[in-house]
Amino acid sequence: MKRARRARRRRAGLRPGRIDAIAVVALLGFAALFARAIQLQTLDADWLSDRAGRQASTTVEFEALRADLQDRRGNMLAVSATVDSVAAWPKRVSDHRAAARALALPLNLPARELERRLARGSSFVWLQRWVSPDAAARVTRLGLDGVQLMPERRRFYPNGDLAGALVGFADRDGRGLSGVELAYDRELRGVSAELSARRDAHGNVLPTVASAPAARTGRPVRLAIDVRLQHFAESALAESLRRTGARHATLVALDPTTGEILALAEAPGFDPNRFWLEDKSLYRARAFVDAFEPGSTLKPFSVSLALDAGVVRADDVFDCENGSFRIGRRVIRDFHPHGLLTVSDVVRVSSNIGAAKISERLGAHRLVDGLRRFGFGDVPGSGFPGEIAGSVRDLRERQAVERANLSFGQGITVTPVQLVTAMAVFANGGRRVTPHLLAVAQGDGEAPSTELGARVISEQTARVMLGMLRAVVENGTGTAAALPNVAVAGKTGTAQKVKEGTYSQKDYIASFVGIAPAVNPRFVIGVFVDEPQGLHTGGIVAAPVFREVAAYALDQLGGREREPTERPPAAPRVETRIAHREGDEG
Amino acid sequence: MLNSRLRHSGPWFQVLLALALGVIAASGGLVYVRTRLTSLRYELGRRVAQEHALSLEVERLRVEAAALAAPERVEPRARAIGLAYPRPEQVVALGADGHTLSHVAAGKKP
Repeated sequence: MKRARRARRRRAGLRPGRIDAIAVVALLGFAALFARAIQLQTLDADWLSDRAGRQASTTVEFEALRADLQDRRGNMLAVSATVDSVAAWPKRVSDHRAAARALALPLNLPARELERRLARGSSFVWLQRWVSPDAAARVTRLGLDGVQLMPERRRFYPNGDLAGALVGFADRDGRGLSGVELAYDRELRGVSAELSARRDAHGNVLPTVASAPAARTGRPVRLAIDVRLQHFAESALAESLRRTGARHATLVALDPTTGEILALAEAPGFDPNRFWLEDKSLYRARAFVDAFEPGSTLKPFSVSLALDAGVVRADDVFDCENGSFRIGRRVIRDFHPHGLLTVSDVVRVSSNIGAAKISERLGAHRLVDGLRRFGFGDVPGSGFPGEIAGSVRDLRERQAVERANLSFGQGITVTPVQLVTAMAVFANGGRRVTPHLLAVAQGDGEAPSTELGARVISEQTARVMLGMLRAVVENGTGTAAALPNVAVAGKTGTAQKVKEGTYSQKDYIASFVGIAPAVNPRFVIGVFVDEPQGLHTGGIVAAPVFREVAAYALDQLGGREREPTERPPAAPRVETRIAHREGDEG
Repeated sequence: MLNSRLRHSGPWFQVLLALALGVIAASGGLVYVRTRLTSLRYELGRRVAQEHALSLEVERLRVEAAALAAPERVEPRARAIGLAYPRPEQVVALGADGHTLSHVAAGKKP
């Protein structure tokens, strides 16, 4: 039997023992492979995995795109995009001069300047940041060693200098530095993210599906301003500057029912797209951060407090002393001499003497407390960075001169936003409103509260004051603010600026703060013109600007955006540092 | 020849051969899967780059659209075709009932 098997193996060419040897070798081989696999997969697994991870893994950092800043209708005020910057590694650039000459044209820079940058000796230099797509393409075509395009985020302000001081700007790293960009930096900035990826032997990044979620863009912020009204207001202010030769002008338009700031214009303005080249003094939104003595525009508030306290009535008569009245050692003068005036007439013709006599009945304490209830001396609470409170000094009852001064707007400093917000009390039936930068309709964001605040004066007093302020426009100092087909209420102010501790004899701030329409008010608009030349009264300089802007606002925003409020009757939903010299027309 | 040798080989050899073929097949499969995975990763990388380029283009277009809608640009064009802002005397306040409220101006009685 065995012999027969051996014979068969010999015929097959396999000697006895050879198969066993092959089998043993193969088994040993498999055993070795198995042992190695065990070693790699278990004993050395952590070390190898760590080493492989270090070699093949990479992390790509994604900076969050700064969110849009929009006006109340969704028009872009600030928008971010990725643009290219041109960077160089000078040591890798073989011929600095030739590279500088080649880059001069696409970068629109002198070759000498580029050569100087390359010769600085640092290992990395920016040749030009934020270049146009065309310039980037031309640089790429040059194919210079050591010169490369680097993507960067850039903030664009597509409206140029429109609302520049209000919007503010963000720096090259996407951080808000001023204005709303600073106020809502946290919301706009978003959250950066890291994207884990593997890379091949050539360093190419191979993203994985699991790592796809990237940076979270910030939340868009919708401001209350309307770019059309803002543009019109800025144009009107620019025209006013041109006409009057004034240094600066500010306009604030407020919706008195919601507190939304519909326009906040500063002229001259600045372009946030190139903020580093602009005059830094133009960065300031003066409406929030500059306080001034308001002059006659404060009279309605002191008179309303006296009316509300019941110490005077609208038809009470005061002797305005033919334009000159002594209190202690001080002589108070009116711009035009007046004899007997009712309280209404005191407001209509803006008599300092009348206001002083009315405040005498009210008393210093009640005057100061009342002005504080209007919001003077208190931060308005809009959230604008650096907004100030102005100042209202405490007075003792026997400080008759100071009390008299205060009654017509001296010895107190206010901001334009405070003054406009306080005027809204008359439009709101006697209740305060908080000024808001954000639109009430905020989409998925946090909308501001539009509830009216504390009562300052009674509804009846507010109604009486609106009547007095209408008289100012109809046949008082503010006739230039009148609209032929819409009732308007308002108050003029002409105040000397304080320079080197004294009231200047030639530098004024002319102002007008008005309400339109006077029936069911839709807008409160304040215009403040700093140092107009020549004719300088608020009635001549500021009131016409109010008229133009109020007409435009009524036309463009009147009643189209919201349902009529519950206030009956359902009606027309149409849409700076000051001192005061005694005797000025107010 | 091989068939006859296999027929004459013992069970060890056949087991070993099956094992070797299995390992080879598994290795081939693994290589295919890894190659395919790498190829898909490159494809994904290309798609991600494409998406990134498109999103950059969207960003650029959004900036351009916003700039085109800027009032500073629109106003001169509107004036050029004869449009104008309404003059103050052209603005009339209307009540909710549609009637003018011009009587509230200038102290007129209704």
